[in-house]
Amino acid sequence: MKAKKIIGMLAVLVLLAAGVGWFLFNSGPVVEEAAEETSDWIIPEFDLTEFQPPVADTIRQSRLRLVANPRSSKAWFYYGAVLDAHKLIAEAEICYRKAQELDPNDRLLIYNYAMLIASTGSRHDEAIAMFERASQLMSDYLPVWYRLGRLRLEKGEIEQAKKMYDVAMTLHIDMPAVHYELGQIYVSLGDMYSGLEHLKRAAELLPDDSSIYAALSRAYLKDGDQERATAASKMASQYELKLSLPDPVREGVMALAMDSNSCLQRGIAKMNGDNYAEAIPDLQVAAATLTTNSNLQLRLGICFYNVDQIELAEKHLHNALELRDDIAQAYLYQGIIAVKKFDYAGGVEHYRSAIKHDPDNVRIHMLLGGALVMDQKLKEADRVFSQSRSLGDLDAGAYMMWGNALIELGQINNAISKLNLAIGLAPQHPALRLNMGSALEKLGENAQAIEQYRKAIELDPSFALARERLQALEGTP
Amino acid sequence: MNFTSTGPECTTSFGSLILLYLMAAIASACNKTEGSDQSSEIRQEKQWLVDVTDEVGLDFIYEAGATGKYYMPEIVGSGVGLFDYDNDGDLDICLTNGNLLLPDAARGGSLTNRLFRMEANGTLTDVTEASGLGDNGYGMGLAVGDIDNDGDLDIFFTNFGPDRLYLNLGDGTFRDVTEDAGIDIPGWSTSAAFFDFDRDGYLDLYICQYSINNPDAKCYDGVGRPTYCSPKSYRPVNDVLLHNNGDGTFRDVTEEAGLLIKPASGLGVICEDLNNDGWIDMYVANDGYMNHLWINQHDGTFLESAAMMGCAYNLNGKAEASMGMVVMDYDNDLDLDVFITHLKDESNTLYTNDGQAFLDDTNRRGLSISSLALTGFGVAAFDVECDGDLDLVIVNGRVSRRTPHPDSVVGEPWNWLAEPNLFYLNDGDGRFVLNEKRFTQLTQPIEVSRGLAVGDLDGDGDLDLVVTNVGSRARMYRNDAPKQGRWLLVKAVDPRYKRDAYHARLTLSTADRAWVRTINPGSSYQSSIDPRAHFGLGNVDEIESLEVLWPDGLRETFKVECLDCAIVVRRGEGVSSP
Repeated sequence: MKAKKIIGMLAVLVLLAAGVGWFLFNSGPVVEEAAEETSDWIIPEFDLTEFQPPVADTIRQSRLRLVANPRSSKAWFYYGAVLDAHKLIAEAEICYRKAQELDPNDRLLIYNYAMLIASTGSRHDEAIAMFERASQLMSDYLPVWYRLGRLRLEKGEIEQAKKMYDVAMTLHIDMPAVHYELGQIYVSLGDMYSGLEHLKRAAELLPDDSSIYAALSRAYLKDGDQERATAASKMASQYELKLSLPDPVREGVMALAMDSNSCLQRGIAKMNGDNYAEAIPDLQVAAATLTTNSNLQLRLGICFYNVDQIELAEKHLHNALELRDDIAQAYLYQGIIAVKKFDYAGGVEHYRSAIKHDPDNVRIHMLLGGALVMDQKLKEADRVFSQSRSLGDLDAGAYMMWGNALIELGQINNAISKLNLAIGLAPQHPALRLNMGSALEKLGENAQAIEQYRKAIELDPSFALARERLQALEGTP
Repeated sequence: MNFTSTGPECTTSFGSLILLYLMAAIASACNKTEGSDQSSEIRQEKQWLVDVTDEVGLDFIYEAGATGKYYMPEIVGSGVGLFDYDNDGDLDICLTNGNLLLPDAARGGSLTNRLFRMEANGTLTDVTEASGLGDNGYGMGLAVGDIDNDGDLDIFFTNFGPDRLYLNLGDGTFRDVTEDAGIDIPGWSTSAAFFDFDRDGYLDLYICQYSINNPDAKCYDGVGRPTYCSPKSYRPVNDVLLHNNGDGTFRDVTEEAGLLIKPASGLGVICEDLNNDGWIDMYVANDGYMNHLWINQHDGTFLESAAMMGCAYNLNGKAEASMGMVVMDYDNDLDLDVFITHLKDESNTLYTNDGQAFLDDTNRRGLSISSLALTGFGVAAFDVECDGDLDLVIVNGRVSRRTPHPDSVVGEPWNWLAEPNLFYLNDGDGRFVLNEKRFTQLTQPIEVSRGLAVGDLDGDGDLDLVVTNVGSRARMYRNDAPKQGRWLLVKAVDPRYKRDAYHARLTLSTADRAWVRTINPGSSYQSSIDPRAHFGLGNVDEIESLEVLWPDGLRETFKVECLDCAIVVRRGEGVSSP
């Protein structure tokens, strides 16, 4: 959550910094600009036959746009950005250079040009000079200072690097990547106190990143705190690497990449941010080329399910399983869709297939139990729920469904025990109170049942069924 | 062994066997007089590493068996081993070879690994067939060690497919004893190293596992052209630790040693005592995953400690694509530092040992910028001119399709991957300075280099090189650097086991300086280097002492009475010290 907040805050900074904004650059009209004609304006051209069709299309179109507006710095920039995004570095640089000639003060251009030069790995001083120019034009854009810091570090200029990160810190005091870099610098300079403070702050801001804990572990060890070093080391091995610097300006260029891998990665990133609708076009472009990628079909299925396009979801899940018949998640989503369509028997079948390929997944077992209850296979549901507990903790929904099955099976005391567990996990869930009231009623505990119905209405005043049961009971002497 | 160069420029004098080669080389050099200013400037510099591949008859091309389907094993490349297989006192050369690559890694290809015997006149003879060492698996790397303590060196080949163990029979021949030894490693192994982790006197074996191959994986470059996949396209697996039972068999102790944690794609391994407790640890270079430092717990188990020791990720917190590695004391502070080679856009990384943990010191030591544009594999640290500090050589070659280097000397598809190699001279203060002019013959052939091993191949007291390339010839380089100081070459032997004392730590002291080296052939990338410790000493007149910390913990001091000489120290023959 914190990371999302940071990204959001940075995005605001970017908008402030970028002025005209990336959007205008990316999709706005091309403005003819005054420039001297020169004979060396040769627009890079490619044999596109080996390129993936979406890549070839986007290169062709952006080139045509430039051909139509050869004196437009933005058209050169855009074509360069398209080439840059597809790692056609030498040709992209030709375009950036020309765009810069036409508009020496385009800060987005300068920044991306600097990034391109830095990506060659062999032109450090040029990259630094270009980033310094960018820093004059967009001094409140944090990534410029971060990149300068990194380049200075790579040159071994630690004090200079620290100054750059200090500027970045003034722009955003809670950027984990900057705290991390400063922490590492202070530790390397022997200032353990400052180093640990920065690293601890980075860990607070991004609490599930492996590299921060690794740095902390080493710093604690150097500081003589073996216990904390060991604890941080364990955390480092537990988590993945997540530390990164949000850089919307650069991401704007990278978003122009239409090759299958870039589209797939973009789609996955959007899915990870629960942005299923926006992920779909990226994944579809990738799928047009990666026709045998079963996981891609699965991802499309999941995205379509999450935007309620069930038929398309079913189609892609089916495609995934046609390509590979052992994908538990595909069966799982097929089960969820079947249950949603009231096809409980179908749901049971799909869940069973999912379990066959992922036998230890407690979530699938719980869903299977629920589907069995709805399919009136109560004894089987009881058995499935019972077995699920050996795989992991059940959630409130599973205990509720289990309780319902037990009520139907006449095992009221057992059902009450399960419903109690459910209420313990989700005390604010009105349906649980209704079901508990119903079970208590069956035991003849009407006073307690009334209490549960009242609680259900308190939690959801519009809960008609609970109100109905309450009135029925209160009308009874 | 006599192919020492003595003269500058075009007036070199050599033995008669190599006269023809030299005449060709001289003619070639003299034909270049009309070249560019730059080339004439380069020619004026005496070459410190001279390509003697033709001269010595090293006739080997690593065949990747590329079929146009971009199977990843095609670009992993081969290793090289320098070891004296026939106990005649000089180093022989073993090179692993690929094969026609089938998705199921079927054995029985037509190509084999090759063994070249060093003859007394400095030329090489291919003795593969006679030695029985022609393993025909799809070769990756090798590890060399005397597994049965009988005084000759055995060899373990890592393959894409089943690995193989060959026992040296002591008569110049080898026998495949893989099954008899109980070794069954069918997957995709890369680097391997022998070491005695439990101090029982027998060499155990660590084997890096790359990943589970997926021949159906399809990957594309930035514009969607097919190319080789990254390791993340494959399922990583745990490495393997084999315990030598001392009876010719090995037992897989990976699980009981505690090594089954998060799997990764292992490419390089160094076995050394990295926390100075006298027991040998393992540091594993993983491709795209955090590196693993397994600290020996003295009870047959290991504790993964890379994060705490500062060598899991680089300074930027990135898990780099680690390939080859070398342990060295580059700053002469008598502890062991580690250098690891990496992918383009990542620098190679120098982890400096500060006595307690490691610090990514790459930037301060001048090693960052020059390597960012290149993909490093084999690496060696040695004192090329014997001035008293360790220099660095790195051989490079990309792994993904890019615009071909304009000076590539290999054809498609390897020209997409070809890159120049790097040579850095240590400035004496622990900073490395790239030197191209004196190493043009090493750095200029733009090829796809992978394996690298150093050793004193010509017996002249400095270290020579062998480099393997994908799709082009392996090259041998003779060290012709003018010696700027004295040297000592030390073979450390444990007579109880009739073999080199792998991982003995040698500290050589003069009146005002000291150097530390270890006996550790398992280094670089899928390779095995000269098992002797080479000391370049600079201007010294006398050695005060040579202290050896033997792998079992015994510390002895030896008197060294010569300079510029090769000596043998034997455990038990020194003066015990606390």
